[in-house]
Amino acid sequence: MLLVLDSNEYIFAFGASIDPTPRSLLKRILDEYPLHSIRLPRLITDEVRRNLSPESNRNFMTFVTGLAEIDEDFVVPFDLGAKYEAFGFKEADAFISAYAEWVGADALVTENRHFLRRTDNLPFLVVTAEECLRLMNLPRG
Amino acid sequence: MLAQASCLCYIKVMKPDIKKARKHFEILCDLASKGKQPLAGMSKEQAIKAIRKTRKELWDKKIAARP
Repeated sequence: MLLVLDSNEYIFAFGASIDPTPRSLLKRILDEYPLHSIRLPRLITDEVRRNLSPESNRNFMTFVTGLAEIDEDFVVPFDLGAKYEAFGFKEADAFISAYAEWVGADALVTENRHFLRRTDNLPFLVVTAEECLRLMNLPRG
Repeated sequence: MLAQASCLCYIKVMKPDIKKARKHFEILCDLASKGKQPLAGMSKEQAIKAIRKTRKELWDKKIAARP
């Protein structure tokens, strides 16, 4: 599966230990690489870095560049973002959704209810880390 | 020549290095257990709200910086 993980997943995994599931998800992705892979836009790395300690910050960038592909925000077509704004997403959320579509992600993983309540007719799944782990357990084919 | 060298560096940076990622994953987990993280002590909902605020601030800044 190609996944886009929202910033809250990385922050919960490595910052405030609020929810252990995102960390389990990242561990599983690492263990099963390249079966599952991650892409993320620069905006998400910036959000994560703002919400981690300076020491975690440095390690996060090394971790994420080792595991995932980071794309600059400007590569996402403007029209795609506008499409998601028309769906009722706020600008930055529209951008994340557009990014997920642009990279052809199978799923956007987030704990953010603003995404989770708008899941109809999207070209990718919107799931929590827990749901994503469940999807990974399903037989492929 | 320089452009070609930059391009090669870029490709090298983007190549996954799972061994390195695994090492830094362990370090990050260790650092998280020691606390001192900006959102430590918050509930899940409070943390999501704080992260959304960061998103809005960063987005507004990016939009303002556009030519």
